[in-house]
Amino acid sequence: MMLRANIEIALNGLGANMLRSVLTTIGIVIGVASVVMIAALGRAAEAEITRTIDAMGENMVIIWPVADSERRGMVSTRGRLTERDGAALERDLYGVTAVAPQLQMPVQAGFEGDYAPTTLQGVDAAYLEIVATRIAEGRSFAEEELRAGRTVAVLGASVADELFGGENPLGKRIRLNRIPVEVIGVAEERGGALTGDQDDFILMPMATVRQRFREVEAGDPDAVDMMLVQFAPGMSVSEGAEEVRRLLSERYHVREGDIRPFTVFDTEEFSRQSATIIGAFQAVLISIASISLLVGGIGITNIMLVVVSERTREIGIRMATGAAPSDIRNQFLVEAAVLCAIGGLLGLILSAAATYLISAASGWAVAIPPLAAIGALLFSATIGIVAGYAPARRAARMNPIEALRAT
Amino acid sequence: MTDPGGAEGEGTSGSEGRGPEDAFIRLRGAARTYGEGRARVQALLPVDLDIAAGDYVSIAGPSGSGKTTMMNLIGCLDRPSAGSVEIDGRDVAGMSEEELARLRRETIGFVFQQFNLLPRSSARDNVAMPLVYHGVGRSERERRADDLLQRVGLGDRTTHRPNELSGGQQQRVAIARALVGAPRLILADEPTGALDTKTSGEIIALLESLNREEGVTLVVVTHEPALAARAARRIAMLDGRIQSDERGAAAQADRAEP
Repeated sequence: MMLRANIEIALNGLGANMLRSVLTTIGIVIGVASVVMIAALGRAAEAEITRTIDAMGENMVIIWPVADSERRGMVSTRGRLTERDGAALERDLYGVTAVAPQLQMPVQAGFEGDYAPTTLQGVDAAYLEIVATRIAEGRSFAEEELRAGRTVAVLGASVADELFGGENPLGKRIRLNRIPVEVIGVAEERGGALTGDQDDFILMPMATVRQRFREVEAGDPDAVDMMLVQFAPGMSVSEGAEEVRRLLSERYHVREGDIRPFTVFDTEEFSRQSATIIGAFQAVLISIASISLLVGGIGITNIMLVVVSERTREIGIRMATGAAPSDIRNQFLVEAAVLCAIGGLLGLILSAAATYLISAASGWAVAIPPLAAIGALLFSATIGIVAGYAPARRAARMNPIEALRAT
Repeated sequence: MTDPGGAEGEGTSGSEGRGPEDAFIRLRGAARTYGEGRARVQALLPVDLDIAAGDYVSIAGPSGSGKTTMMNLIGCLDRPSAGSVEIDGRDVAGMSEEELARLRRETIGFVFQQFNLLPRSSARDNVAMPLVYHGVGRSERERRADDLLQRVGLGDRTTHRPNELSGGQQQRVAIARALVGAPRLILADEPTGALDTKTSGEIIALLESLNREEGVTLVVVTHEPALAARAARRIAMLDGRIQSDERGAAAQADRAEP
């Protein structure tokens, strides 16, 4: 009841100086908005990572024919990775459920004057199985097409959109680097992710890409650009990645301390690394938010000192009519808390607007976690109580006789 | 506590009329100094005073006579530097600020020269304000405030703010506020000092009626002889001492002459 009366008094007092009150809370507004944004973005980023990993496929180890980045030095080591390596991994490693090698190259896709630069991926049946590629329209590759290297393609959603707009692409002939290719299917949209547009690709049989699109070069005739190794559910992919490194090192006679001609990466490590990056971003944002909240809190202390001195006579009147020092102290603590909570509310509104814009612009599913919203309000009220403590104590210690004499 | 005889100035109440044990307010050697060292000012020399419940007392004297200091002690706004001040048998010297506030809240209603209303609050909210500290709920606060405003003749001004009211009306609001905690003592500090003669008469009549009809102890602090003379018991102060302490209808009649 006393609290309610104090809140009424506080709102009354703050309303008398609306502009000043709102300006005072700007530090709190920005601080709270930052904190809420950190929570919202952090959550969205985590969700995106999960989505990216889901898109790649779970329990996945990825191998590139690139010299191991951990040991990359002055020496450039030519990367090596072949289909035979894939066969060996599938044959010799425990727990491997599928191995999907693939070729990747940039191409220019064209259809009736529309052009789109994209990535051509040469894949086999295992890839289609591992990377859950759902077909939205048309069909996937037939076994015969994969084996014989037919010039047929499945388009990623954004490529299909760029080349055809709303038109039906099925059965149409597009040109990839001037080579005519028949569109047999369009993949289901995967959506944007941390790693960029996930729908910007064209899939073709690996045999076709190797025969028709690759420059003939020295080296392994069955070289691949990337390999996905899927482990059985429940197995540790980190350990799996270690096993892959061991086996490939043996095959390429890499000795201890040598630079490996391949890089092995697993989805666990990916999420770990992503979490580290997100954590770093959040740390920066949190420090900005803390500074802002600190400055905001000092601003609240300052304005409350002004408020207390402006209302000295009121304090005297209240004391003479029976308010105890603790009543006066509570009144100003509540006023500071209410002021900060209003700042918190404004910050929440600001961050809601910002998240709305960000999700509209980026396609990320950014949403303010309800707990963060409630937490932000409680936290800002707490700042108010801390910031208002010294002014409230000053008010409570006033001598009623002197306070009554104030003009 | 009701003692109409005392209010009529028949000399049946007051320190001389009863044993000191019965005194509602009792000062014993109560003194007040301000400052320290050379800046030390003896605002009130040690004074003994008993005021009986239901009495009507004026404290008069020029500025610097110590009357305000004594009023602050009686009103529990201040504590004596030496001696004791007892209200209803309880010594305020040993009380904490919180206890002092509670004593004020439950026992004393103040009426000031400058009304001291909260400028941004309505008459109703001003009157209801002290009840917040009694822990009374909002609807009950407003009901009691409206009752009292009705009683002081402002039943139709409950939502007016102080700047929408005349001086006399503002002082009536202040009196209603002083009454809202059902005090046993009304302490009026120059209650008519900011009012014209006609309004002054109405305000003092209102205060006197509370003393007469409700038995509320009334202490009026003033430098106006005519106002001081109306009280049943008249204390005059000078240089931090009680100069005279009179009671009786005869003296009242004499003093009432302009």
